Amino acid sequence: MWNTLIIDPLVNLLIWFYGLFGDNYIIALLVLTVLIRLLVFPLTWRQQKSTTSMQEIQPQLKEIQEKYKSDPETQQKKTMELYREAGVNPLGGCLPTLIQFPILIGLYQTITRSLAASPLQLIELSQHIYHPLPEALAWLPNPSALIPLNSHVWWLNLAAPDPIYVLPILVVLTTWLQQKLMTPPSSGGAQDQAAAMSRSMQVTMPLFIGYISLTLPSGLSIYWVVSNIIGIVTYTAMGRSSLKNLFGTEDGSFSLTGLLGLPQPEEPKGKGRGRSSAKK
Amino acid sequence: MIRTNRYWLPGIALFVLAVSLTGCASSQASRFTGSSWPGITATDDAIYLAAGAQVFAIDPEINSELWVYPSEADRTRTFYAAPAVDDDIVVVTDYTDMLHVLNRANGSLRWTFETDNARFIGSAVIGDEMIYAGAVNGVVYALDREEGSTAWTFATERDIWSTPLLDDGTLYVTSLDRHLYALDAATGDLQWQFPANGTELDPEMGAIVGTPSTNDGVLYFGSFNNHVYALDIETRDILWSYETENWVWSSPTFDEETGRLVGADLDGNVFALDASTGEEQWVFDARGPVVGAPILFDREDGQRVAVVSVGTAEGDNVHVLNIEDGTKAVSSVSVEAEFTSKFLFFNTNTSNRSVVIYAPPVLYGDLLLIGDHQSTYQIHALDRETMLERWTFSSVDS
Repeated sequence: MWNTLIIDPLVNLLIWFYGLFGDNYIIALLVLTVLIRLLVFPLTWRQQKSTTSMQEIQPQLKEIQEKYKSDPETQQKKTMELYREAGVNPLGGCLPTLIQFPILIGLYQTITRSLAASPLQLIELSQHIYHPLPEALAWLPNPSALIPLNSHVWWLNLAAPDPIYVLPILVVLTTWLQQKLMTPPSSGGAQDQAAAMSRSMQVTMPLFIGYISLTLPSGLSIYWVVSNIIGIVTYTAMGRSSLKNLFGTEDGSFSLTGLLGLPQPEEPKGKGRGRSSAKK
Repeated sequence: MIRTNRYWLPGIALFVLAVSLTGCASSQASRFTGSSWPGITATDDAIYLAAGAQVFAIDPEINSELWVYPSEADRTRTFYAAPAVDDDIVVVTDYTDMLHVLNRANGSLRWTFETDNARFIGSAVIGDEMIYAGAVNGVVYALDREEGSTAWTFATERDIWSTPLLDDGTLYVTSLDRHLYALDAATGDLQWQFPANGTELDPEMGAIVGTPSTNDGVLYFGSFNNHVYALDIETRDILWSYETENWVWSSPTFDEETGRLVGADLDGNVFALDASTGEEQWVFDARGPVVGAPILFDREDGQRVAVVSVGTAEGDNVHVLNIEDGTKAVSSVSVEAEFTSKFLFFNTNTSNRSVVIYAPPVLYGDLLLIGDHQSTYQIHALDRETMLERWTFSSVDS
């Protein structure tokens, strides 16, 4: 089922793109990445919308948490009421991400399978190729005649990790940049647990993906970099990324601590954005 | 609390992603892991096995090692290609970048030849004065048999995975660049290539990974464009072609007794063709990729049979087929081994199941040797008449 619905179509699509674009794997991967981003756009749009809405009701949420901290039941009830009034689904930010995971895993398997570099991998690939092609698709390149794909581009063997670590570094940088541009600065101060968690994720997530890309085929790293760049461009065009997010400042002016995601200094009561400093 | 769930969900998702991408979940626990399958060669008095980090000479009578090369496993080198053997030497190519020439008597090293970081996948061929092998950098190397110096090289445009065929002073080499090359074995000069550049078939040809077989001036070979070809060596005309349902990896085997050509594709279709016309005689569905070349022999009951091994983990994986009509000469068998399912570091279940077999079956006297790249055992020796397993050999326990 997994192979029939996800892997086989993606493998054949990638190989067709490879044939259509002059046996160039990078271009084929670029086109496939754009196509996948377009397909999951409704999900990412919803995720972004949900994240923004959640951010907007953070002050009210904190108020409820403070006000009913000794009464968890009422706190939960009021929180749910707030969600309902604001039209926010608390899981709205996570579910689209989870739905995209099979696609990411499928794409990973597609890249590794299409770049078969060993006898066992090539035999495996033979089981995912459409043959013979239906008459209606006869104008497409015959995938069988294109195998094995040329996996050597620039200094890279796309079926193996990048030996000089350029791509893993780009993966870390673009993942971090995308997250930073998209995530509004937390309203919490240094003591706020959620803010600390958010800052931590902004660092650990890019490093984690960068670590994975050290060991996986560089073709997958190219997907990640391209996908991140497309994400940055898309969200910027949607008006959802900004320098304010990048530097963590109100006016988008440069701030090294904000850029590095360090806790912002506590601002005087009533003047700053954050309400966590306003102890009641 | 909903707030807590918000942080657990990405964490769980991250974990699932990591497990999925890094392959921590496994359905098998193989002690012989790698990129290919063991290579087996049988001579009159010994069996030679290239498996993992070492090459073994085995006395089949008592199923014990005659010698092992190297004596201490070098984990940077892996041997898969079947050893080439002649009167006094054994030649093994490794999956790293080296060709090793050993004394057949005791496995001691005579000399080695190292490529420019290009691994060997196919075996070497031993000629009277030279040793020939192709590597994944697309280069065919002809090496002086005694000293290992390079006599000549010939470059193709893509990887060479096949074992060259040496026939009557000509070296036939197939390449993933979708061509078959005929070279002068003495000088390396290109005599001709098929398809010729610019011909109608040129863009339609697929990669070729099998070694051609030959008979009476005709070359037979299969391609990834789902065809088997019969090529007239003299005129380079295609005498006939036969369309298959998937790529053809294995070398088709010509049978002098019946004049038939027995081959298979990666969909598991085993077929017998009239070698002179290409007309299909029968097709047998083996239900799994057939990678190794079929072997032919006469059974004691008088049937001439073709034996194929199959890359399937479900059901029978060795078939003995009557070459006349493609029916089973004896019941097919399932060569099995014990497998342990794993998740992360934990064993979850242990059971017996069929091993996936890509190695071609090898005949040694009254034994059928089946190469296994999945389980603890690299050779399963079956009685060729009863198909019962007589012994197994494991390189790991040595």
